[in-house]
Amino acid sequence: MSRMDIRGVSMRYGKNNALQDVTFSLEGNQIYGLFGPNGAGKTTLLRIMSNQLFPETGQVLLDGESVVENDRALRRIFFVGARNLYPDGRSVGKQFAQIKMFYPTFDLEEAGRLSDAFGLDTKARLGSLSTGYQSIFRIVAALCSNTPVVLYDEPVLGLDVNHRERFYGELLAHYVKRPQTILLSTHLIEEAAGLLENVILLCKGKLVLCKKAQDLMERGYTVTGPQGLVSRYAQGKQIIGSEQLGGMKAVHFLEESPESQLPPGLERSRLTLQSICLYLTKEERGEKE
Amino acid sequence: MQLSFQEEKPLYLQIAQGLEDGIVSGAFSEETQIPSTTEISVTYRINPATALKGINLLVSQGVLYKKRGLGMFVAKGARQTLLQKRRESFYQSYVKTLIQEAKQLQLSREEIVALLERGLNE
Amino acid sequence: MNFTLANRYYIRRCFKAFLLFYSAYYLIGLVFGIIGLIVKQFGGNFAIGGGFYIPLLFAFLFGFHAVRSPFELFQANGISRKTQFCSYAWITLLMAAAMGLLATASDYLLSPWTSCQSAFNTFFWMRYDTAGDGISHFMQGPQLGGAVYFFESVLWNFSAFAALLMLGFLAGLLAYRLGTRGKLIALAAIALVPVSWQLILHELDYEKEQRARAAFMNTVAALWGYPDGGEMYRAVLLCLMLFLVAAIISFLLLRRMIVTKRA
Repeated sequence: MSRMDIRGVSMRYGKNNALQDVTFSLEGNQIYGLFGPNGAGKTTLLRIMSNQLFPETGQVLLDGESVVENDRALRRIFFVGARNLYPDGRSVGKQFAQIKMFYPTFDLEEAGRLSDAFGLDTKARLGSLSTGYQSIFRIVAALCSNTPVVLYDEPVLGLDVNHRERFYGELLAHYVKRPQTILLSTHLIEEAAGLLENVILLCKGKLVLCKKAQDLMERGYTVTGPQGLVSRYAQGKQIIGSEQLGGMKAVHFLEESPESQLPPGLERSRLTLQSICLYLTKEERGEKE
Repeated sequence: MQLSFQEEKPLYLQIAQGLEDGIVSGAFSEETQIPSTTEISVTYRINPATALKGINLLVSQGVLYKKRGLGMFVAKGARQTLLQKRRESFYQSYVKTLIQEAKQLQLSREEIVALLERGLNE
Repeated sequence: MNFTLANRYYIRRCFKAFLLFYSAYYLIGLVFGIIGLIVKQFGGNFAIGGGFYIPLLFAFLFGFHAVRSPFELFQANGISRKTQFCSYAWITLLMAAAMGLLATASDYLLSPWTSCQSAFNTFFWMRYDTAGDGISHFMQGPQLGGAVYFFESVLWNFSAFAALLMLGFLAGLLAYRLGTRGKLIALAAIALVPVSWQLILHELDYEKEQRARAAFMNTVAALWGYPDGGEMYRAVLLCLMLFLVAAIISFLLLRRMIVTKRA
């Protein structure tokens, strides 16, 4: 079981603060979702965690050791990103064999089985595959890596719904058989919501939150009703967004909702994880009305 | 058991509810084993921790118990306990709400009873 | 452990390249050599020489191509940059030794009737021509030098190949790190050097120009162990220093390099 600690990581691209003092931890053997708007710094963060980029300040630790230029730690992390870093000229099957050379825990048989399941031709040259299938090659590799930590950056980008569903299913099936510390960065929040145990939300390079998914989802709710009543109810509570249509108002909250104390005339409904993330990042970006 | 991510109830409560339904309907008889967290999580595509939370809730209510090395089993008398719980819950969710709604519609006691009779006869 | 993995990768790469290159090189050399022999039988004259620079070029190009694809693959598979560098440096020494032996063996077996002579033979054959009989024993280093030739040939070839493998690697690193604009500027600068040298010479009067040219040639020759073709050890030293300098700069360039590939 491996844990990763990210402490005070900052990174700049020219004048942009790609990441600002990001601190959180990945406890061992849990599935984390990494969400945030485009440009929030998710890919930058993941690349820093896998020694592809260097943080300006801060540390990235795997079981207490810094991962920077650390071969021993990097053996235990498998990272799959959006760019294809594998040579175009080799066949998929040979690529898997080569990955096994670098990651002894890699399961070649399983790679064959998953390739069949996804319809990935192991004899095809990697460069000749469509972008979608190049992604599938990478996620199959990650699923078979069996490393203590796996980092996924937008794994299902460009995949059709069948492939996406299959990926989630295989991810879980592998996870229950052999628990790993998994970080999944994706824009498809609702699709991933059920898989996760924890949520990490990034916006404009800053960490907005790192919480248990359950807790987050239980504390997000909307109250709708006549404007005056709603405003009164909203007093002193943690508001993350609101809409108004004529005399009706809807306010979104993120806090412990007292079960039966809702005043008459008001209605309560739960917020989806996606909506919670949406409102929280809108707030960060200063788009609150 | 159908899981809905859009529903009001948190996932782990839906799991618990689904298991309860199974016990009440007799699908899971007393002293028999229920599906493992692994099976539940893979079948419904949810994190095993969520499945476990739902199961643990039922354990804390005495509906399920753990046999070491084997898994989770339905407790003796669980069905009865659940039926009782559901009857109370029926009162809270349906009867009280019915009366509240009826009052809002300004129905009299006799009118309410008449409607109930109608429903029972249909 | 990663060092071993990186080595395994580079060795496989090297084997493939060797196989391709040397089979072509020797095949062509043999073919032309045989043609030459046949032509000689009929009293004609057919000599093909000058193939000496080809393995040197191969070494440089191998180094150049040992940057990008391996770097991206290593980044994807958790191999650190310093491991990549150390592995490549080690492989360079192994390759240079192998190529040195091959080059020397070709001198013994295939020279002078094929084009597969080593650069050492081309530059330094005079060193062993101590007969003083007024006859030029062009390219007959092995025949004249015996065991000494063997040792010195392997040594010189080793250092030349090592230097070129590392220089190629350095060039590959620069190419990877420079953007398109940078590359254009670099190529322009490289082209500008001989051009501006010629322009400067043109401006000087005849005598000064001749002296400048002579000075330039003499410096190169002196570094290289010429003109008497004797001081090969100076050339070996020069090559080893080039290897070291290229290695140090390469390490510095590689240690904080990031993947420049866009998705």
